[in-house]
Amino acid sequence: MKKAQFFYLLRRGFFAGGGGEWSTLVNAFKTRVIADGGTLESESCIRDDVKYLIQNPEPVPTPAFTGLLNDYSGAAAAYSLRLLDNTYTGDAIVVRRASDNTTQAIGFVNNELDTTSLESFCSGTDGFVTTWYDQSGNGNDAANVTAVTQPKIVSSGSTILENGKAAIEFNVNWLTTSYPLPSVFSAFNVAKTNFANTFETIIGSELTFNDWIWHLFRSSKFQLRPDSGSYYSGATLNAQKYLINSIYNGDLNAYIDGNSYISQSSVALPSPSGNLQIGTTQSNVSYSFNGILQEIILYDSDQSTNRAGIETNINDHYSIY
Amino acid sequence: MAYYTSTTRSELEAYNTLVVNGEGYDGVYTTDWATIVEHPNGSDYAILKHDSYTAELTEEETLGSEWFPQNDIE
Repeated sequence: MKKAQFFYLLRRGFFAGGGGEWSTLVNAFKTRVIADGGTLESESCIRDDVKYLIQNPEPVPTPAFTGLLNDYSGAAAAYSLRLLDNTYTGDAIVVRRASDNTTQAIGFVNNELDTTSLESFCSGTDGFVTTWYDQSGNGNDAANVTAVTQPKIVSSGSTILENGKAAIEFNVNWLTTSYPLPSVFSAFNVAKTNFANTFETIIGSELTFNDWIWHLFRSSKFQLRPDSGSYYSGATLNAQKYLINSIYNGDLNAYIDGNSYISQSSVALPSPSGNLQIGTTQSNVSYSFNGILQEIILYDSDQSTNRAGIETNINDHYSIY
Repeated sequence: MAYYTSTTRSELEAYNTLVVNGEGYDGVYTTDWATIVEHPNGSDYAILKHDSYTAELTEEETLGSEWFPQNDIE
């Protein structure tokens, strides 16, 4: 369409007559022209206004971010390298860089870990996680004040990635929380093990085997152990990333990548008394995790009815299966 | 990973302090170099050796599995 034809049609109200997007745009344009003191009879005025509108476009509203914890609230502890709750204003992690052992808190940009700040801080060196903040609002942060057992997140200046997403690498490393283990729970873990150690703890008790249900990889399988003498397991797994969900409400169930993996009724659980540990149990190197973790969300309630939705949210983000 | 061993725990605590001071850990987010490992016999101790710090202690190339007993777990 030639410019003269456009102005002719505009003056005749051609675009405004049929409704729809064109009508909306033209009416908005007319309103802007008139508000600016212009007239549709003046081509130069319209030209200036079009130029103005192009240079000053109406802001396009950004859809409000909704995190997993906004949709599925009530988590007791939630650790992730993505933002889980749009009301959470804290940081994701605190990192110690190996070059001079100074630390810096790293937050989120666009709801993901701020890897630009992370790599700027750890330029050319390794970075270790001293604190993984709890996003649940309960203050159950996971931390490790001992340098040699702090897990790694930056290697030689580059963020450790798993399938393009930031990941925390554990190799005889762990984090301890102040979260007293619950007697009823639903746990969601994004984990990839290398099966390098005999016992690969994802989460467990700070105290003893008999204190809680120990979550671990063992003999190429995932196991849930209510004590050192008994365990429940399923099919052989590969050295790849999995979404692992466990739910205990008297019965014990586990799901891997959305599929049932363990189903056991009437499992006895002693009264838990210790705190949650990530990557080990009892701070024991022999039971430490070797692999990567990206997200751990723990509810002190039965989330069976929300399980599929939570799993979908996690899988949509991490593209696990 | 090499370890220093001793029958005197305080010697290994002093080594940990040597590394902490030398490395300049912030004392808040990082307070220790490594945790002292206690042998199940109750009389021997070990600590991971830092590559940059030496001490007049017995050095072991690695610690045997007897230092890290695992419960009788299937």
